[in-house]
Amino acid sequence: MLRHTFLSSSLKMYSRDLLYIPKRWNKKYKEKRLEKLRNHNKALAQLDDFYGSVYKDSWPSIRIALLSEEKKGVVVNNFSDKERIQKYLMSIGAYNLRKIFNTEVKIMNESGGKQKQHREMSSNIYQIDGSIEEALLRQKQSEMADIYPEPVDSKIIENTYQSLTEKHNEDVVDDSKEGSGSRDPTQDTPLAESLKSADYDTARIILPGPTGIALSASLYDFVPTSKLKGLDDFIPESTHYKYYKDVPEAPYDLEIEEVPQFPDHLDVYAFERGNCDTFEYSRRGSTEVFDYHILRLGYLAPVLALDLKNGENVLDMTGSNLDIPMLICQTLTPGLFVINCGATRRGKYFLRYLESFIYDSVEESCKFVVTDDHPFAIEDAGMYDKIIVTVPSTFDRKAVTDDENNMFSPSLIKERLKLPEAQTAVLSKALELVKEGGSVVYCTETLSPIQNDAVVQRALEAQWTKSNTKFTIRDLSRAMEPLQSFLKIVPAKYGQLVTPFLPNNCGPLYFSKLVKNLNQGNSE
Amino acid sequence: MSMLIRDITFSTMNTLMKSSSLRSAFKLCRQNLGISTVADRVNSMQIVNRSTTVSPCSNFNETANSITQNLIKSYGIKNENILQKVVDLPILSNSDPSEWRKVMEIFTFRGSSAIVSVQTIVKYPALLKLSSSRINRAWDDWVDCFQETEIVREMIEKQPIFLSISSTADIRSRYEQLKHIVLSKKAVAQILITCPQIMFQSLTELHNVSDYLSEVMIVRNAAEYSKSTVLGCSLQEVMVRHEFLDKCGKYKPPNLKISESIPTGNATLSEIYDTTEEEFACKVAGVTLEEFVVFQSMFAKEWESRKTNSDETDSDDE
Repeated sequence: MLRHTFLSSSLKMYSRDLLYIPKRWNKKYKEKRLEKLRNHNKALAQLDDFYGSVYKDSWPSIRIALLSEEKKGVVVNNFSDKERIQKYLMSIGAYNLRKIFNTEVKIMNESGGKQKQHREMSSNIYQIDGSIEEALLRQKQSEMADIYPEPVDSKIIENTYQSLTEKHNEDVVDDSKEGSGSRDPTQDTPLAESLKSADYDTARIILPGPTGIALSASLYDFVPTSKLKGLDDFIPESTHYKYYKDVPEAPYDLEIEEVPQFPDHLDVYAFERGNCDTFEYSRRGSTEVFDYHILRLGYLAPVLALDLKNGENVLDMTGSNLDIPMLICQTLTPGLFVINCGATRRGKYFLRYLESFIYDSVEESCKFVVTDDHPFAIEDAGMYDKIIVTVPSTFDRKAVTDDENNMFSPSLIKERLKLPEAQTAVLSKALELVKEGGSVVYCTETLSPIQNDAVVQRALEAQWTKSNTKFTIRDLSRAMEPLQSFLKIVPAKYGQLVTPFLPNNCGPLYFSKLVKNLNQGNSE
Repeated sequence: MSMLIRDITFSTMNTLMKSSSLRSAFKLCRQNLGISTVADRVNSMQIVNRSTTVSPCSNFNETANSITQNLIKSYGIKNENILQKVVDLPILSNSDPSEWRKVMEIFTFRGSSAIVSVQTIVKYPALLKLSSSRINRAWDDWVDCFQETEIVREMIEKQPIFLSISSTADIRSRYEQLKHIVLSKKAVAQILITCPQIMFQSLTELHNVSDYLSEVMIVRNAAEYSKSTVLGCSLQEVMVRHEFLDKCGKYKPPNLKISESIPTGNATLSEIYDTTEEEFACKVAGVTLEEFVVFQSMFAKEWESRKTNSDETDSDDE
C-alpha cells in the first residue's frame, strides 16, 4: 500500500515536472518583457519624466495627442488644374486656410479687444525655470543610483545639490566681479607644487619595515572609491539638462511682429477642428504634375513667420523634409530658393519630387536649387534674405511611436545628449549667413526647452561673443493669432510652440524668428 | 428508506433518460417522495378573495380601478406615491385583481413584505402578465444557482426583470462566469443588481470584457468589479476609456510582483466607468471633454477597421 502511494505521488510529481513551462518560454511574458525594452517605450518613459515636470497639467493632453495620428493638410499645386482641385477639396469638406486666416485678421483689426486677450495669453507662458531644476535633480538622483548600487540617502543628494547650486551661484558672482576667464578651477599645476600644498592623511601612511606594516591598521580599513575608471566617454545626462540652466544672457532686442500676409498663391486646405479624416493620395492632373502635396499642417506656421516677399533669396539650410520646400515653392515669391539637404544624400530624391510638381518651363520664374552640402560648408554669407533652419532634434512624435531611428535608442544616447550643441552650431552658422536686416527662422520638432529656447539663447550668446553681432527676436504671438483656429500655438520664451492638441493634432514644432540688426559693421 | 428511494429511482428511470437533466430528476424524486417545493406549494394554493377594508385617501385618484386600489390597500399600503404610480400606469390599474393577488402571494410567500412586493410590481408591471408557474420556476432557478434564498430575494426585489428569464442555461452560465470573476455570491448579486443588462448581453461579450479587465488592465481586486458597472459595458466601451487613460498616462497596469495592498495610483473602475463623459475627461483624465469626444470618434474608426480586418482574416482561414 505504501509502495503504491509512493509510486503514485512520484508519478504525479513527474507529470507535473513535465508540464511545467519555464516563465521565460511563455510567449505572453516574453512579449511583455520585450515591449518594455522597445525604444518608443523608453522614449515615452523619459518624456513622462521630463515633460511631466515642465508642462505639468497640460502634459496628459499633449501626451495623448502625441500618441494619436497627426493632422494633415494639403497644399494645392499651382501648376496643376487648380480650380478643379479646389472644387474637389471643398466637396470632401476641407477648408481653405488662407480664407480663414484673412477673415481672422479682419476680425482682429475690427475689434481692438483682442489685445487684452493677447496679454492674458502671454501671461500664461509655462513656467520652465523651476521645473527644469526639478528634472535636473531627479536626473542626478537616478545617475547616482546607477553609479552607486547601494541606496543613497536622499538627504545627501539634496545637500550635494544645494552645495552645487550654491557653488555655481558663487562662481557666477565671482565671474561677474573678476571678469570672464580670470579664474580657472581646472588649471594644471606641477605635481611638486601641488604635493607641497596637499593635505595628507597621516594615519594612512605606512612606515617602512615589518613593524610598520604590522602596526598599520589602515591596511584593513575600507577604502572608498574616489574615481571611476573606464568611464572616460561617459556623458552624464544631467549635463544635457544643465544646458538650459547655465545659459548666459546675450543682449538682444525684442520687437512685436505684425500679422504677416498670407501669400496670395498659397492655398492650403485642411479639415475642421476635431475632424481627423485623411486625404487621399494625390494624382497627376492634365498638366502631368501632381494635384497636391500632403503635409504636416504645423509647418505652415514657420513658413508664414518667414514673411516671404517677392524676389527674396531664401535658404532652407537643413532641408529635413519636403513640407517646407513645397510650401515655399507654392508661394511663388522667392527669387532664388536654395534647398540644402545637408550631406544626407536626399538631394536627388528632393529634386525628383519637386520636379513632379513643377513644369520645366516655369523653373526659371521660380528658381530653386537643390544642394547636398554640409550646413557648415555653405559660404554665401550675406546673400540670403530669409533662412529657415529645421535642425535635427529628438522628434518627439516619432520617438513615442516608432522604434526605427529613434533618438532615445540606447545606441544613440551620445548623439541625443550632444544634440543641443549641434543645433547651436547650425543656428549660429545660419545667423552668420543671413544678410543684415534679414531673418532666420529656427525650427525643431520637439517640446524640450533645452533644444528650443536654450539653443536660441546659446546661439545669440555665441554670435555676441564672436562678432558683437546683435539680433532682434520677433515676438510672434500676435502674428500667430489668426492661426489659432486650426493650430494650438503657445508662446515660449523666444518663440512659439505648436503644441499637440487632439482636436488640432499638429506639432510639436517650435519656431523662433531672429532678425539680424542693420548697420552692425558701422557700430563696430 | 433506501429501498423506497431505489424503487422511485427505477420508476423514474425512463423519464430521466428522456430529460437527461439532473434538476428534473431531483424534481421527480421530490414529487415521488411527497416533498413539495416552495414553487409547487405556491402554485397549488387557491387564490382567496380577501375582504377589503378601504380607508379614504385624500390624493388618491378615485377614477382609477377601484378594485385594484382596494386590493393594494388591503395589504396595508397607504403610501400615496405608490398608489399614485399604480393609477398612473394603465397596465397596473387596469389589470385583473387576480393577477395582482397571484404575484403578491408569491412574493409574500417568498418572504417579501407587502410594500416591497407592490414596489417590485410597479418597477416591472409585466410581472402581472407572467404565469405563477413561470415566476416560480425562474425564482427556483435563481435559488438553485445561488444556493441562497435571501440574496436571491433581495436581488429579485431590486431587479424583478430577472423573473422573465426562462432559460436555466442562461442564468447558470452567466452566474458561473460572474462567480469566476468576483468569487463571492454576494458580489455576483451586487453586480447583477447594478448592471442587469449582463443577463441580456451575449456571453462572449462578458467573457471578452472580463478577460480584458484581468489581462490588460490587470484589475486584481475582485471587490472593484461589484462596485462598478463595468461588466455591463460592451468591450468597445471598456477599451475606449482605458486606452484614453493609458495614452494620457493616467493608467499604468499594476506590477504583479508588488503587493495588492500598495496603492497603484490608478483611478478605480467605478471612477472610470460610472462617470459621465465630462467628469471622466476632466476629473479622471485631466483633459477637456472635446478631446475625449475626438478620441472616441477616432477609436470608433479604428474599431471598425479592426473588425473588418479580423473578418477578412477569418474568411481567409476558411
